[in-house]
Amino acid sequence: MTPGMDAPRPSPSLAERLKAFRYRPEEEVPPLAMFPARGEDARPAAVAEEVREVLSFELAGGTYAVALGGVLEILRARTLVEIPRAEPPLLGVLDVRGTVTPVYDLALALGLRERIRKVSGPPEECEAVSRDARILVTRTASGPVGLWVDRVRDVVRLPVGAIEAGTGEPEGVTGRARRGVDTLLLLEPERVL
Amino acid sequence: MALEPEAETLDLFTFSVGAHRYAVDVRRVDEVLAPAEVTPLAGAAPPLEGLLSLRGAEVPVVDLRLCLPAGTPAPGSEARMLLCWLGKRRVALRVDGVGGVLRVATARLQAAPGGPLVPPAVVALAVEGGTVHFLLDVVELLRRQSPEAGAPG
Amino acid sequence: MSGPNKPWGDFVSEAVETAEALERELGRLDTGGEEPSPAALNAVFRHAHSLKGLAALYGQGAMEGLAHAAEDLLDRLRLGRVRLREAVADALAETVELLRGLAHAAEAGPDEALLGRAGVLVARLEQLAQGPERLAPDPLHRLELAPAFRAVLTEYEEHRLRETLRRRALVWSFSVRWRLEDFDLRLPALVERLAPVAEVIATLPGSAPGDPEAICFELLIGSSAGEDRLLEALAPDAGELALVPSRKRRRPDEARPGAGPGAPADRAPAGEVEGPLRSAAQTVRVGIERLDGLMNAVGELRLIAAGIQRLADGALAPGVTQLPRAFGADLLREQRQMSRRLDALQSGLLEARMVPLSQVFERLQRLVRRAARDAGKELDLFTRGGEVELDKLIVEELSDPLMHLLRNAVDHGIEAPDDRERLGKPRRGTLTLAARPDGSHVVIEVRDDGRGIDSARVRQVAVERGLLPGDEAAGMSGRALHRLLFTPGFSTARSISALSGRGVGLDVVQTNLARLSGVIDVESGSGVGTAFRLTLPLTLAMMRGLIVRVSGRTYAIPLNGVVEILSLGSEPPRRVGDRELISVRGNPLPLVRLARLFRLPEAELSRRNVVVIGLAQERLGLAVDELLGQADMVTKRLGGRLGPVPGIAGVADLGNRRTVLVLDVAAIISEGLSQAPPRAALSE
Repeated sequence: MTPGMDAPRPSPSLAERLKAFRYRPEEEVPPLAMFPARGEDARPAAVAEEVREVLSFELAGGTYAVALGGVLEILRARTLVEIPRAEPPLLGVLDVRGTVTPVYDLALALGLRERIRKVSGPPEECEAVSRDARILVTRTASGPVGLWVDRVRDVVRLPVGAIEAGTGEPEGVTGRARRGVDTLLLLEPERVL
Repeated sequence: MALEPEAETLDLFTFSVGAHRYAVDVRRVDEVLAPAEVTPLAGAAPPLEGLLSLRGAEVPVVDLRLCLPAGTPAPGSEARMLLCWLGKRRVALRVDGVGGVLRVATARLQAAPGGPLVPPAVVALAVEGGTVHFLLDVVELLRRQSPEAGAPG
Repeated sequence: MSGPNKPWGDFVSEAVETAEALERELGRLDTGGEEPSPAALNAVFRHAHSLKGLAALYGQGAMEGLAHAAEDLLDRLRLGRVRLREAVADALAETVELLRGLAHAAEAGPDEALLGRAGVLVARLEQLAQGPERLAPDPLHRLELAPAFRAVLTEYEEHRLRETLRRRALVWSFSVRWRLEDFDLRLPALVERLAPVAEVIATLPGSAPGDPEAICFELLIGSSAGEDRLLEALAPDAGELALVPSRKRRRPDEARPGAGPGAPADRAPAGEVEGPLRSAAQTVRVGIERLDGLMNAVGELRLIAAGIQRLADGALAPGVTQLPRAFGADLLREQRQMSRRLDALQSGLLEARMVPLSQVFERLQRLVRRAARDAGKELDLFTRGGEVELDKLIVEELSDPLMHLLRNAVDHGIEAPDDRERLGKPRRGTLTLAARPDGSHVVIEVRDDGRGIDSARVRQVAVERGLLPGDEAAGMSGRALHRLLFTPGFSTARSISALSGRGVGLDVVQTNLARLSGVIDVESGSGVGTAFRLTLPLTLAMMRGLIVRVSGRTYAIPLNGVVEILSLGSEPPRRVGDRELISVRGNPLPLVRLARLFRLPEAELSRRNVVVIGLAQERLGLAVDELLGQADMVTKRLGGRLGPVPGIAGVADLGNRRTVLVLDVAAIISEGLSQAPPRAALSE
């Protein structure tokens, strides 16, 4: 008896199942309850109670903060590549690890400044950049953006209970929290811009 | 969207859990790690163990041995953690031993029979050198472990 | 193939491509001692044969002769008359290289050196073809295995079958049926039980059982024990044992069409022959120039789209009553559709230029093997991610930097086998070359498990070369130190071998990568190994740009949009309304000052340069301050949150980390011309 009368081609249903088996970066991974948070690799939640980790920074004298999970990088502020006819609060763009990233004047967007900084274009037209100034590269739905801030302070772990809802004014402030003598205003970068 | 031609071969990475051998798409496997310390996670239920700190990133750790049929591992096998890609994220899967890379012709694969006697989320079988490998759809396996799925697990 | 009236370009591209295919298949043959599979040998033979025909058609005598000699040797290989020894493999590899060289030199005419080498190589190939050993023809083809099964056997299994038959043992098939609970444990148990009397060569899927709780397999067994003995060993597992017979003589209808007279069975089973032919018919060769031409056509279409947009905007402006607003809305909708189609066309063209990295990986495999042999190191190179695709130009540009990194790893990274043993490491070193996609980038990693970067030595050399003052170097650690390796002239090799060259250091790698908008990073552990990570953007189009300066800013204008460059004399441009015109060879040309268009501070210069940009029929003069020359550049889209910026197509990296904006020629022409005076005023 000759072995294998039927040709061993994978049956249609097997082919379908193999498709799910193969790895594709865009494959749909269902929101598994076991994954603690959204995003690439999660940060561990405190064992005791839920805390939110934020990065605090200074803008025009006030103290603000954004969710730490959204911060991709912190760069020393420097002159940017100018975009002609740019609309404020766009300051310019920067090449961050190969990706062209727009950088915005966060203070201007919040209404804390009137005049936009001039930090792009030929050197003689640019204003001096403070040594403490930083650019926070943060994640948004349409890609990474850079936020120009005066000074970065530190990472703060805020227990969820300590966060009060924001008044909604100015646009993008989603909450406020007390920390020592300071009041931190929590921002959602997407909404501010 | 280009049409993908039916690949004739499949590259697999094999490992063992309990007494059985499994295989996943080799492209899923980012690294093989020695067992390391896992930070427990509040509210985490087995098979999720907790988080592993890996060069600045936190990676969830799942004990595959709790998802697949039990059994005594072959002597000489050493427990490891497979750092696997699931979509764009990585998960560390605890296994009893690792094999290696295996290339099989898709025409040689057998569809996995259904029913409770075959380990869950197995899509096909590959036999190589007298050993049966169960091709495991890890995404499906973990989906079933999720409490929402309500599956017996 | 049509007659020899085809231009040289076609010959060279076809010849080179066939030679590359030959090289690929040849690479598969190099299995290190085992018998090569008939399928692979056939593929190589076919390519050599095509190359010979092609060369003959174009009167390339030397190439024809070389291909002919290779073909002869390959024929003997697949007939089993010659064994694939190292000498044979090396000669064939050299032949492919020389064939490629001859192909490139075809148009100009090969030089004496090439011809001389060809002659010597032909003699060598002929000598190898004589071959001292004579093998019996392949018995596997007489085995009555269903072609479908034959097609799925691995090369190793074929080899084992062949060996079984050569030993004058028999091949049996055993159909077995097992319960689902324990089949995966019963199979290895059966293999073990058979071990004293038989070898399980292959386990193939069996026909589906009627019982949903059972699974069937077909085992191919080789054994010289009798049927009784076999049944005894198989006993606990119920199944059917049958002999797989071999035909006594080859049947006439199996002869390969067109094969030489008296050639023994060398035909590949039907299933295998069809495969490669089918896939060959599905690909089409397209020259890069043609693709670029199509890209230019896309550019022209974009200009039209921009023009339509303006019409639509005009019709939709508030207060406009001449044209019904509905018309404007319709027009805008059409324009948007066209824009979308253009986007799709453009990405399709960009994708057509994508080739898999495996092209480069395979070549690197051979290189590493040779380098390891020469350096007396024992190592394995693993590659992963060969299917990742990048722009063809990038893949070609990558081979040098990757080769450099791999050679470094072989020469300086991996320790000598004895040293490794002494250190408690496995004798064979491990090199990994892995590529994986990462968002809009590709990450390629070159990793070795060798001695790692010697931080102390790096520090020492840095101070010696005056790159750092001593105290600063002492304070530096880890990554900062490793980054020093990328500064020019840095090389810590105590003995620079002939392979790695002198002082061609990592700085060259970095510069080459920067031209591709790539970055390189290094991670190393002393005694553990080193990993270089290259990050490259996925889709790029390399193009040439004209670099200009306006109001202190630098911009790049894609050269395919530049028609000519003029120098404005002292004569000021004519004004018509609020627009400007200049006269070029008696014809009027609308003029736009880029500084004004971009609302930049304007400098009054006596002499101004005018870059005439054009697409399709339209022309516009762009006044700039200075011309800074031309450069090859890679353009990145702005993308993301920024959205389309009027007048800017993207950003380009000009090599030495200078980033400039690239102008969108179509948009600027469209915007500039919309300010142009009506036709009546022009014709004068």
